[in-house]
Amino acid sequence: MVFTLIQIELYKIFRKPRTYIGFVAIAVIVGLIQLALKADGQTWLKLMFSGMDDMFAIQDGNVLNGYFVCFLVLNTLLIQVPLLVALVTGDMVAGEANLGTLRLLLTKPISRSEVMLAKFSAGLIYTFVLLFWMAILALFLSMAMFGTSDLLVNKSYAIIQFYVDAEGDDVFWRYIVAFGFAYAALATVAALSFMLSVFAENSIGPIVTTMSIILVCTIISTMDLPLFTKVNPFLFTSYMTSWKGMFNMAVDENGAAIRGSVYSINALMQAMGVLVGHIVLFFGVALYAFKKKDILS
Amino acid sequence: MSNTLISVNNLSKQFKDVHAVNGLSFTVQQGDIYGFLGQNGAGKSTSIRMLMGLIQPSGGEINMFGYRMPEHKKDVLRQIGAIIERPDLYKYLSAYDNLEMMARLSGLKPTRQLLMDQLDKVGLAARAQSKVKTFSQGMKQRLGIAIAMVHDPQLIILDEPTNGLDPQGIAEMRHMIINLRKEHQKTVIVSSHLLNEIEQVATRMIIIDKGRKVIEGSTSELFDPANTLVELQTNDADAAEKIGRSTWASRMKPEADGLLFTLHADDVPALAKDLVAMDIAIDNLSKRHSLESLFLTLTGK
Repeated sequence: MVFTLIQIELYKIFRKPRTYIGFVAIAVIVGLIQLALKADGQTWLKLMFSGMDDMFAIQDGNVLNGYFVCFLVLNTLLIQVPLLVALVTGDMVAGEANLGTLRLLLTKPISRSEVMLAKFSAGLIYTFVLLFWMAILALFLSMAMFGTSDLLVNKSYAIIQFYVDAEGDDVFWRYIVAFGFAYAALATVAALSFMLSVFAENSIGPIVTTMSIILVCTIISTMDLPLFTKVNPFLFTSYMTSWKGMFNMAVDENGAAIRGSVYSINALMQAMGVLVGHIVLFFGVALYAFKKKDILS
Repeated sequence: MSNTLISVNNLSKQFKDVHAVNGLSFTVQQGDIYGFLGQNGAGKSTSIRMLMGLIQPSGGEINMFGYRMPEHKKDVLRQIGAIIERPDLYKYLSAYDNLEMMARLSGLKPTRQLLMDQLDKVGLAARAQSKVKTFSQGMKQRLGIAIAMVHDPQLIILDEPTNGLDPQGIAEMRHMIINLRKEHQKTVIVSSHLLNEIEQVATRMIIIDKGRKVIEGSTSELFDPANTLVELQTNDADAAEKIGRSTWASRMKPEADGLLFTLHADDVPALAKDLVAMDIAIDNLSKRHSLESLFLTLTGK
């Protein structure tokens, strides 16, 4: 029955016009960035690297390549995508409560646990499809438009700024894993808005609350104050950009990036653990609350 | 021999300080059209939602089809088709899609033929592919009935089924409820705050007020022709005095807008004749609705 329910939930999601807002928004933003970089990217790069010519030896490399464009897109877009995720997952229970269809659904011989499991699974599948769409546009389309070469990544630690150069054939697999981490982060947002959706009777509340929570937690995560520093390791927002860790390479004694290396696997594992922990927690709370909920709508 | 489908014992629901349902007990037999009558806020919908497992009772017991609710919710709901309050459907989907989805959730693997037959029964076959958002309230109600009936349940629960319907829709609904019992041998629970709606379809009924049972019984038991209320409206200022001197005096009670008689239904023609004989100008002489009088008497309204 859960499989049937998941099919039905996916059918409902993809028959709603609002579902496609996210796909269109991503296509427009990525398209605009790619168009701008194609038109005037080299000038912009020259400006960025002006005065650093003596620090880098990029002889044969094409800095403005597909990998670089993808990094730039992800860095820009992954801050906005949670809104697009919450737009659907925040509506999954609250939207049905608002329409009155939750009542109809629960008069059928299905348990509330099955309903929640199916709805959450469908939400996670939607999130995956949205991210996959982003990967197609940001990575594959950029690779087709700009070609592939070494990836130069800007690293900022306090006031020191430096660049790490990953060789072209050492990049693609990093993106695959990075998208995995990005998915974990977005799935956490999906779980949060889904949980809030259980407590609401219309979808605006969960969507706005999700974005507010992300905003507040992100501010706490980025402010380097002693009180916040103690809390930061427990906030999921501290790990929303953990995907970047895949491009943080270890360096040898000569300062050269070690091929195939990841600077801190432990930090990445911790990030994944915290994100998965939050997903389990949010879904657990949602399930418990929904099973106790009186359907009054 | 009657077969008890539903047995509710001492059912209660409290929302913070409000007792929505308070110690309600009743039974529904197989083949009944069981009327749930009460004013808005009397506790009808809360009771029905507890039967369906939508609301958790604060106390009491519900047994349906030999199963205890809500512990055996799936076993019970498999045998029920319901419209609770409004037929809220997925507006962005077609009638066919709505029906197919709900049939699958009811455990069926529906064929196109089955679904189209079901839509045909409620007169929506021609609109099968139209989105529900284009439907009138009556059409939504009919689609709701198709959804409730698609898995051939034993019991149909209709909570306020005539809400939002026009007079023709109300008549159709009434006809359909009676048919569900007569032609399909279904048991039906129907709730309404409209007394005449319940009286015209129910075989047994319960009247609830402020979450409590006021009375339960067969409609024929509850409707007692010996206590028919008849209203007289007249401009004759001496009417009460004239009637006070007649044999009708003990059965007359002055009311704000006329005089009210309590008598056997068979005595109404004799009363009319005597009023004319007493030279009382009759503006209007009408039987007050039988259940209305019972309801008002029992609830003290």
